[in-house]
Formats: sequence, C-alpha cells, structure tokens
Amino acid sequence: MNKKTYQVAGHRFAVIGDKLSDITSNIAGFKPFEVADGDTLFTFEEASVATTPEMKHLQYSFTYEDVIGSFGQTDCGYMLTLTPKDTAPLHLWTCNGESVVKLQGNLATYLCRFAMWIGYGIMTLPYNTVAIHSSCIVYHDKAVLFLGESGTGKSTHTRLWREHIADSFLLNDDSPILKIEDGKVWAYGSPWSGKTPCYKAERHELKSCVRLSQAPYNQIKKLSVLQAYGAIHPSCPPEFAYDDILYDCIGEFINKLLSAVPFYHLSCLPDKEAALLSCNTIFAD
Amino acid sequence: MKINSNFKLREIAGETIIINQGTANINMTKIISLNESAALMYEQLQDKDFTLEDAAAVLVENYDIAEQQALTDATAWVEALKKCGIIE
Repeated sequence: MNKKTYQVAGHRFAVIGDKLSDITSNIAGFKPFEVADGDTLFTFEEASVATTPEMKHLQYSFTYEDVIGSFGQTDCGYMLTLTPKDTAPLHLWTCNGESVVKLQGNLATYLCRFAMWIGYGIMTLPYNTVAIHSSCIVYHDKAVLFLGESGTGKSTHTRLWREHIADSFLLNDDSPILKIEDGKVWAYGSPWSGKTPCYKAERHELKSCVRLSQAPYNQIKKLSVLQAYGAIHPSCPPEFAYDDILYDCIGEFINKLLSAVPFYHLSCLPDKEAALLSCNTIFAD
Repeated sequence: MKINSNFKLREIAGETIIINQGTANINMTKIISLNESAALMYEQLQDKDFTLEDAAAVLVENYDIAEQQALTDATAWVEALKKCGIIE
C-alpha cells in the first residue's frame, strides 16, 4: 500500500492508502513538504461507509463556492462534512485519543485538500500550532502577517511589498501556520495558500501582525491587547471557535502570541506608500 | 439572576476578558474586558443564583466601600453584563 509522509510546521504526518496518497501526490502544494518516512504525529486514512460516525452536535456551518460545510462533534471526536451541490459528501473525522484522521466519501481533490487542512488543524492545535488566514511576507528573515476579511487587499499589500521593498518575499498567501516554540513565534509555510501557488517548507520568526482595512489614506496604529485580540480572533479557523476544548487551545495560543509580538492596524490605499509605511513602522527598531 | 455558564474568563496578555462567540454563523463575536473588581464579582458569583445585594456584598467585603456605593457599582456591573448576554 502506498504511503506519503509530509512535514508541516514541524509536525510529521502520513497519508496512507493508494487513493489518498495519489490525491496528495497530485496537489502541487504538498510536494515541497514531502519528507522521508519516520515517526508521525498522525495519519490520514480512508475509512469504510459502515464506520462513518454520526454528527451529534453541529457547531459551525459555512458555504464556500458550491460546497456546504459542517463541523461538529460525534460521540468520540470531531467531524467535518463537505457537501458539494449535486454530488456526494466527503466526511472527515477524528476520535479523541487516537492519532488517525479518517476520510470517507467523495474524495475529490479540492474537497480532500480543505478537509486535510481541518484535520491537520485539529491534530496540531494542542501543540500551539494554528493556521492563520493571512498573507505572509518575509523581510530580513522575519515574517509579517497581514490579516483581514477576504477582499480587503492582503495579497495586494504583500505584492506591493515585493514590488517596492527589496529582499522581501512571500511565504504564503492564504494560510501560513503559526507555531509557538520556546517562547518564540514562528511563521511556517504550508501546503495551503489559497489561489496563489506559494508553498514553502521554511519558517521565519514572526515580527508582527497587521490588520488591514481599505481607506482613502494611509495610516498605521499600534493596537492594544483587546484590539489585537479582536484582530487575530477572526483570522483563526472559525470551525474551532465554538468548541470549549478547541477554543481553549486557541485562547492559550492567542495569549502567547499577543505577549510576544506587536499588532498594528493599517488603513491603506493599494499603493507603494502603504507598503513603505507598514515596513518602516514594523521594522523601525 | 445567574451568570451564563457558557462563558469563561480568560487571561490574555494581562487582560481579563470574556469571549462571546455569539451563535454559530452569526459573525458577531464580542470581546468584553473586565477590570479587577468586575472579574472578582464574576469569579465569586458564577455557578450561583445571586441577587444585586450578593454582588454588592462582594464589593463591600473586598474593597472597604459603603454599602450604597457598592450597590450602585454592582448595579452598573449587572446592567453591563446583561447587555452582553452574560448575566441572565
């Protein structure tokens, strides 16, 4: 039976079985994260219809393009169901205390890719590891995360950095992963980068997080702890916000993150001056 | 009245806060910050059915203030947390 092993943000996991390993082999984003076989934190495996659990407590549901997603608890763990319009659903679930993430149903690549993001998130959350919806730039070996609702111009802003700030480069355009290790916060590249193919198996120490909003001017302000909480909370996976145990991990992670790096809010135009203003402010010292 | 047991006090970077996620899918998270005395009342009164006088008593015991002042302050605390759905 085929098996692929990957390492993302320092966590190694295996994708087991011909079907699933074929799928991840064909996802460009996974390629840079492939590593030699070794000890793994968890595995993804295909399960049978008969073993698929029932969703007992729905905690969060959402719609993305033509897919309806629901996340919640079963009798033994967490479950995600992705139901595309007019076709069969994909189920992914975990069992508390077990290191296997199971998938069953419609194994379409785009569904598996998202489901594995959730599966990875559940399994690594206890290790101070959280995927943050953001665009991440690296400058002088330090990472900066730009946060904001979809459509606020995160990608535009990091493009402006790349165009106007020498030696800056993109680490990830949608879902870099933050991990707290030995009191430091690290930004890792990941196999998930939205529509921008930017998949880098590297890490850089986090310098700052900046929440963006569009404005007819450029202005940057440092945020208080409460404002920073409000900035980072919506950028954490919303699926994990309605469960006490999962959100305890998120809360603890945010606590450490806010104690470690400064947060800013940037009101900006999509221009060169906006990029220079954020760069000069963040890297003033 | 009672403190809704769905909420938890969290210590975040030196602040004492409560996160109210709202109900699933209504994207209206409220973050409520409590100062020291507000957090103390919260801690001592959670899991109990309490009256305004009980809340005022927490302040009198801990802060050496007159009963009337304590009642006024406790009323403000109750009103504020009721507005956020934390006391019901």
